[in-house]
Amino acid sequence: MIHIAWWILFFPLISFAIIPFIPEAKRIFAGWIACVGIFFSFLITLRFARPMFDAGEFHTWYSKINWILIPGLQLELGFFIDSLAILMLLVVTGVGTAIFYYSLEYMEHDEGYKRYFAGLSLFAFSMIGIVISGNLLQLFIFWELVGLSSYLLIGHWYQKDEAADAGKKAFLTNRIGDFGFLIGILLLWTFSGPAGSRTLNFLQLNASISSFVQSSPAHATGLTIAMLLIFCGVLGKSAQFPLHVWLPDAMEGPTPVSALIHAATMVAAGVYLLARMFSLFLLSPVALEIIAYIGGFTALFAATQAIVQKDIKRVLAYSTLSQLGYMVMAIGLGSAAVGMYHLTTHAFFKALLFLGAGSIIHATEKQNIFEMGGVIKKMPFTSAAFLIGTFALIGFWPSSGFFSKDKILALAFSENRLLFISSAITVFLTALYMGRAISLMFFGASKIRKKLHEPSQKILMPLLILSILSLAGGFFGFERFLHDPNHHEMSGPNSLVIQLATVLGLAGVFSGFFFYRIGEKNRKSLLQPFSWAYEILMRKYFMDDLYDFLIRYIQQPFAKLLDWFERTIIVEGAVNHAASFTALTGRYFKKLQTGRIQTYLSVFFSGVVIAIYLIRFGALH
Amino acid sequence: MIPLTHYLIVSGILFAIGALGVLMRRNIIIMLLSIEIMLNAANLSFVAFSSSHADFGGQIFSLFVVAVAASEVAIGLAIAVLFFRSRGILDPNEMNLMKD
Repeated sequence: MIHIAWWILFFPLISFAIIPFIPEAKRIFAGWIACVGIFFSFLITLRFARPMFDAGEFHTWYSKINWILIPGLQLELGFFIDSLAILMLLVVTGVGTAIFYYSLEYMEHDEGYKRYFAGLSLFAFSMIGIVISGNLLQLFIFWELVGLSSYLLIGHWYQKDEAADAGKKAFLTNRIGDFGFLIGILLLWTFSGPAGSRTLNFLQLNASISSFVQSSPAHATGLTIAMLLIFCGVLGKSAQFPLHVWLPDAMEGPTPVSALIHAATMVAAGVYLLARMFSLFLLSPVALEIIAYIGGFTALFAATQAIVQKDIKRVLAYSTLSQLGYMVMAIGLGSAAVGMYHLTTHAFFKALLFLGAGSIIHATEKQNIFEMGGVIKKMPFTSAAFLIGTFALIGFWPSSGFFSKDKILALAFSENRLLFISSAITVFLTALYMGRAISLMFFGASKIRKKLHEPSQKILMPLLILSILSLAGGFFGFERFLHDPNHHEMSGPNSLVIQLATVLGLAGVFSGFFFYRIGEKNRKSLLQPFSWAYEILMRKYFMDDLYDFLIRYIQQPFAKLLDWFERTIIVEGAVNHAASFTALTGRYFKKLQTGRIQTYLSVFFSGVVIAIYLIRFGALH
Repeated sequence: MIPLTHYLIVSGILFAIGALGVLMRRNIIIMLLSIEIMLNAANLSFVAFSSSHADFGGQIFSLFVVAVAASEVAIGLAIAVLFFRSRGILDPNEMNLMKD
């Protein structure tokens, strides 16, 4: 049992290794190999999950091999599978399989078909690696690998400047966060015990850090700093404010990639990290509070921007930011279980929304929602799937989103009223922008000239499966997986919160929906007084301008200064002069090398005589 | 019984002769012979110390030295002979082709 756990990790890696060797003429196999790889991983994960589904038993599997063993530093490679990891693995491999399968058709005529599936397999490998890592350093390695595969897939259409730039932006923004993450890991390592017995192992870290915190009050501050630095990694990967800027641009990648990586799994890795290290975060209430506020702020901040986006994928991207904010907030408010629950349901319905949008984009070859309209008549199945996803996103009963979002709201209601209010506003805004998108995409007069038809079963099957999961996911009881002594109990349903959320959701959908039904002229006149707000939202609250300013006027001059310092002081001054000094001394000492053997011997003998004299009579005696 | 000092004096004289030979002669074969003389001076003191301290270590060492000296002469003479054949000189100061 324990040995097959490695295969969860290695099946996608094997696919990745095989795909480049497939001849271009038979490239269809590349897609199938990738699909089979992730599907096998999914099957093995199910094997691990079965005791929990059947009997509600909670096992923990742990295994390791030693990697680096030098005195004072022991590093190991290992896996650690508990209920949290299994839940995440189910999401990654399950949703992954659906999306891989979907890609078979979606990318069928793409030039970089093999490269695409190789990238997807590499991503699956690294993502699974994050989930099952047994220690922080190993997790960090896979964390970076995930960043790399994300970069490769965003830039899949690298001939387009926007895609290439978006890839770079994603990678660099993540690097900023990961830099903090790495420092945080090193800090935790030094905190984890006296030199020689330090560890980064998840199993031991908890005990050693809590004894560290209890030993002195000043240590609590140190831990807060370390945990906030680790949270920096989450800021980057899960795209929380202020490092959220990369995610909307990442939509330049192929739509299945957006669904898998930039909605369902990779961006959720940050939330997973928070849940994985939750017992450590619990030791630092200050850090948790900051995390909660950042999450709540991101949720609201991103939802407002989603209202004005014209590209359907960007609407969904901002929505993802907003939902990730919810998850981070839930963990910050003290319940990793609620955060992970929303992560799971969000993975289902957001993947569904992206795949539905992809199906429409694939058929219409348009992404602008103002250029669509009337799609529901031409593509009823896809539209139904998209609508189910929308209902789950807004959180209507009985969809899965209802259950998880309600738990988050109830948690906020009992823990922090300010955050509850902002979350409630976010619920309204979510419904508003989704109502707007639906209204523009599916209803009204069609603006599409092309003849539309439903895609083949390769696209429809994943839509069907994800629709079922989005609808019924709330009844599967995924929260059972999170019944862990380390995690808080989930709060029960709160009828006031449920009613409020439903009313807000309905109000949002209707206002969004009908506002775009009233005709363009009326709408323009209504919106006229708010054009300044529209401008701010379209400019993304000037965040990109702010970063542009920071880079152009602060980072760039600083880099120039460093460049000058390096060129003139270090290279010209230190390095070159050291070299010429060596050359100069060499020119003089060369004269000692006469080439006459007897001269050498004379020197040698006199040296020996002097040495003997010194040893016998002189200073060395 | 000859005292240890006498052996050491003879050994020292032999060593000095060998050293001067290496330093002053301009013939590479004579220089090799002088090195042999120095090695044998060392051997002599090894053996002298060995018998005076009743310890076999010194004698074993001198055997080693003899073996090393034999191989050294074999190689050194071979080089000298080959060098004389190709360039017709034995003076080490003329052997300067590698100098810049």
